[in-house]
Amino acid sequence: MSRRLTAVVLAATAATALISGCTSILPGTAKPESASSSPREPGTNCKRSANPEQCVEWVDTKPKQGQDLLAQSTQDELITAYMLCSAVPTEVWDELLGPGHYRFIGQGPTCTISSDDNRKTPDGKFAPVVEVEIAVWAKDPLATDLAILRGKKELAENVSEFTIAGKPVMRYGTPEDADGVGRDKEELSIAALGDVNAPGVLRVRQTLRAPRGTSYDAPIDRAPLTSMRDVVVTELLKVLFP
Amino acid sequence: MWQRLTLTGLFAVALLAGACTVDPRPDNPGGDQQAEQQVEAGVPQEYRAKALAHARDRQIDACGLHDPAAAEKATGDKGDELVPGSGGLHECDLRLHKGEFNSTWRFNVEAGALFDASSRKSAAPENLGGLDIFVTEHDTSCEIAKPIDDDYAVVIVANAPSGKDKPAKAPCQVLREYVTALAPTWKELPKRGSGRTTPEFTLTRLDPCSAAATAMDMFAEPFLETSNPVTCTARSMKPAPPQQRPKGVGRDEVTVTWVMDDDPSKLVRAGDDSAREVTIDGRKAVLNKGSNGCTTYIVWDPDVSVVADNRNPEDETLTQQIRVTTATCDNAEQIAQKIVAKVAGK
Repeated sequence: MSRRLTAVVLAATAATALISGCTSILPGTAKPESASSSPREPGTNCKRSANPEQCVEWVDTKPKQGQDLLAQSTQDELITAYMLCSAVPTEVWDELLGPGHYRFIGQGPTCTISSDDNRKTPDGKFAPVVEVEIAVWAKDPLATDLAILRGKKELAENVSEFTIAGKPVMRYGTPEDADGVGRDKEELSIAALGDVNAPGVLRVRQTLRAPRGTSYDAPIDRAPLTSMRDVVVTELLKVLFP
Repeated sequence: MWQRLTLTGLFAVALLAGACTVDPRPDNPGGDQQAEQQVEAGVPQEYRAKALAHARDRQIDACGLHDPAAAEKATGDKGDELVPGSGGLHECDLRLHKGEFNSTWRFNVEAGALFDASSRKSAAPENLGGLDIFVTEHDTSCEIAKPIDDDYAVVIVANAPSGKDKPAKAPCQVLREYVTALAPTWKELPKRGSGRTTPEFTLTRLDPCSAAATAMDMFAEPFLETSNPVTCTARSMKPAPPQQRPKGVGRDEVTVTWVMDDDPSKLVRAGDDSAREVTIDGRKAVLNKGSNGCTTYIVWDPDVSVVADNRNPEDETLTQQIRVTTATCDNAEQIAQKIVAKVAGK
């Protein structure tokens, strides 16, 4: 593999992994000085995260919009994550995820909002869990992601493009992400300012996982994921990139 | 002389009454503290918490976590044998059967298994017999974890019988009943040497990192890391650049594990030079070339052996062994000699 190709693959990995909060590949400082007064110790919500030691409790913070939000993300990732977590009001999340949902800043500058993983169905069993992860990337346009992913056959076949609320969207998903088994995902990158060539990407990953206590290969009904996908993105765009 | 591994008495006879009786002798006061303080110097700061947890969990008597009588009640089958896992002495299997050639349920216990926040998040919290546990259901098995702290747990897995006879109860139903019966025992996890099981496996009194430390001088910027309560690896902070390893060559590291295994001499076969037997400090050892490096089995104590199959007690016995994996067999004997000298206190 040539050096150039290696760099491109790494960039693609970084692009697609940004939303997963892999701090090791993210530029910048994960926990900037300006957030030093924010709670760092795992609290109520972080205790429920998959990685309490890396987690930061969410602080309700009025979100900036558009270019201001993108600029904010280059200066202070944690505050930006607070803003992303604060964008959609509780009542809307109540409707989308059900009561008892909770928010936290997981590993890296990503806001995570999870449905109540202790919620039970009417027959007393644990309900499936939906997680929404939100991040912004100010430095590159969506066109960069598209070029990287479209440039390799095995990645390109997982890419699709469409629009939500009038903005270009790229979906990246393997067949396993939508097979209705164990854990399904909808991973979207949205041209935040409406132009695929303008820097600024809103990334939204929605994950549906089998109820607590069930096997990783248990069948799941992905209908909730399908029905809420565009609604979540529309709500976020309404506030963050009107 | 071989013997059956028992819980305070003969497995098939007395365990029903005696299994739940923890020896009233007090544990060695301060014993845990002593274990906590004995983390090998070669374990770097970032791995010390893990090493401390593993040292603590090495003290748990994995086979003592079982109660064959309760397992018989939960399954309706007959107890077969308790077998310390060949994966390491922190594991113990309890096997059951319906008849001579009809093995049924198998319960595998692992003391000190990784069970962190991510694991807790995906498992279902429940309370069984006053014990806070987490359940995960699979098709033909069920897993229950009883946390020891934020990151580690005692994990028991019930494996349903395979074959055409579908068991009357689902794996999680059986395991819930079994763990409910075990709850009084699991509230105070039984310690090794408490007398709950015999024979005692004395290797577990020792830290595998003290053995692995003898190989540190092979590496530039060496360090030690535990991967479970009975396994420790010595390797370099400066790993070699990624490259295709020749077939038969393993990672450039030395891993030491305390295991129970059958006679390693069985690996030595006429006309096959992949295994050879040597004697190290008067102990039988077998070096075995594999596709991913070399494994050396050193029989630590031939006088203490347990039956691996009660239906074939003379052929299937296990002994405590030091298992050492190295990149190749070229220097494996020298490494094994240093390890044995260290473990034997020489």
